[in-house]
Amino acid sequence: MAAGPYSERTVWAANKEDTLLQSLDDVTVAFHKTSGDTHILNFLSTAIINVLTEGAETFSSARPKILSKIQMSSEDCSDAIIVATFLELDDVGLISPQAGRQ
Amino acid sequence: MTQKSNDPNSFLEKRRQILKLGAAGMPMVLTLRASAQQAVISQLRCAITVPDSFKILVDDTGAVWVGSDKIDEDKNGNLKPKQIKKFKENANFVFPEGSAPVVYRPDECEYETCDDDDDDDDDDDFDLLSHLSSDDGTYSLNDYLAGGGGKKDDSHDHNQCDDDGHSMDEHGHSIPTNSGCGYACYEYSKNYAVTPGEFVTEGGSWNLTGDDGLYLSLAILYAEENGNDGVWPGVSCIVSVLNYIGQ
Amino acid sequence: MEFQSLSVFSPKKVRDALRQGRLEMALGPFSMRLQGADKSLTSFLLDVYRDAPVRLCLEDVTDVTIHVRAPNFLRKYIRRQVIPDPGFIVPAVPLPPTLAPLALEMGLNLSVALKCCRFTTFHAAVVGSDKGCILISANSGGGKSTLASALMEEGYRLFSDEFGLLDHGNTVLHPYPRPVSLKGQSIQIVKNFAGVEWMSKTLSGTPKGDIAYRRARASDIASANQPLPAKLILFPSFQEGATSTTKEISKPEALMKLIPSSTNYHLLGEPAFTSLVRMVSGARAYEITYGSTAESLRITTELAEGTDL
Repeated sequence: MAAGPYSERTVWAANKEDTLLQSLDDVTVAFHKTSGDTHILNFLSTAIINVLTEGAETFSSARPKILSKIQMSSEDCSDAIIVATFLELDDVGLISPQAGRQ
Repeated sequence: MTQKSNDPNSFLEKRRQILKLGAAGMPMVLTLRASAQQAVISQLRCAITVPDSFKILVDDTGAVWVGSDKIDEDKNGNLKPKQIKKFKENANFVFPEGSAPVVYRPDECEYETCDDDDDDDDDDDFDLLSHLSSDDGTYSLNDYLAGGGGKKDDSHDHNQCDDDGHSMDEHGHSIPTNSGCGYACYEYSKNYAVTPGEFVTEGGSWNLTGDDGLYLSLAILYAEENGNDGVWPGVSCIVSVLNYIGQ
Repeated sequence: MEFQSLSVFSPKKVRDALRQGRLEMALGPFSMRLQGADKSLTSFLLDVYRDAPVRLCLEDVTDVTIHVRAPNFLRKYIRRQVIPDPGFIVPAVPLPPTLAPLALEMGLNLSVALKCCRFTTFHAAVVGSDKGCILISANSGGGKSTLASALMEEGYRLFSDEFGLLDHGNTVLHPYPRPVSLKGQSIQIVKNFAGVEWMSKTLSGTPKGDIAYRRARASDIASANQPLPAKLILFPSFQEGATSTTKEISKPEALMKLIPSSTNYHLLGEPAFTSLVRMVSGARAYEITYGSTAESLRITTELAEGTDL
């Protein structure tokens, strides 16, 4: 799981200069330039990256945008799974909490 | 392998499935580290945890009951028949004969013999397990289940002796010498955890052993029947692994 | 001076040029300067590289430089040994002079694996038809060379038995048709279907047991400047006597299997990622298991037909 603090007020962002995204079949493959790691993202993790690339968001402000991108309701896609995916993406460095903006 | 479809319901259904797997522990991001020699296969990483303790009761035909009622042993080490009966009545899951792999089935009961015994058939002593073992020591799950336990002979005619030369009760059932025999009980403690991927060989077949093997073989049966819609603990994880190994 | 087939030169001229470091060979995308004093090296080149284009003078900087030499002064004269010197430090086990050909081949492999940045390189055998390539990805000893040799007999062009060379610009694989390296039982298997005239002498006592080389055909070498896109990607697994299986895998999974086999993916980063994704997008990928060369050939041929190769 991610290191560092996380709260409802945490502002998350993805740096599009840092990550190269390409679609491949039903997934997105991502190359993180800083670490040299390569990732496969499913529709949820891709949506989170895309939303946060468009602008830094808290979890609450990002959630409806994420659900809209994946065309699902909150019944289908719980907060728990979105939060877990946020933390996974943070863990591998594809998104990060913004310092001083919690 | 699911067929691609332009049907929007199928598209959403597929996404719902993936999210269920995520809730079961499957990661949403698969990573190949810059220093890694091999990608981590996320589908094999999911783990199943069952918060409450439970038991799996297996009879000699391979029929299975899964529940949490108690079953104690008597002073001779046999399971108490009344508790067996109650366990079966209250079981959360029931699997038909032939469900449990042969290795987990107890020996058949010894039955009271009948005076009128003229039965001369001797069942061949057929060791299913060694017959099915593959060169690398792993077994196909289908091989496990192919043996089956055989159905009980219901064609009794309420005579005193059945076709096997066993005494029969008023219901036509063979009378075991010990009424608690013919059952094996496997206990799983609270927060029992298992990672199905650890039982998948490099060749993509199952290598099921120990008490974990019994749990997983039943989970696989359940998943094949019910898919992700079932309520068996960890079924999503099992479905994920089955999808990965192409079953 | 124009490049000509090595076979047009006399053994003496070749030997002298080798000793003096004046032998330049052009094969596929690489030019190579070769140097060495051992007779075994000269014989090997004249046999197995007979159709390779060479010139016996140095006119230009080359991509690769290999000097097969003694590891130190002492070993030049006493209990003689040789190592490949590609111009940078490599972990090379000293070998007896009779195995100088092996030292040369190892040195060439190391140079391409470690110093080539024009392409994304990965451990793979590659063969091609006129429509595209079959890329066979497996580690050393995984059976890719035997399968590549068998496919050559079916009319496929040898690109390489060791490296896939992926162009970053137009996502094609470049041929680099050096001799196919075969070990152990594979030697006899390939000898049986290719014919003894295509095989080098067997080198015994190597760190990997017996090794022999199946030389590339003149046509393979003549087509070495014709790259092609990958159409079929195979991940083979040989298990003696196993029942054959074929399993199509997804493009993302194929990508994740190819990346660890690359020798320079992490060095190159972005261009390697982009070109590998594009390559995988245009091909179908399969894991195959087989118990014999005949079976591997059958499976591959069937899969190739399915991808219009």
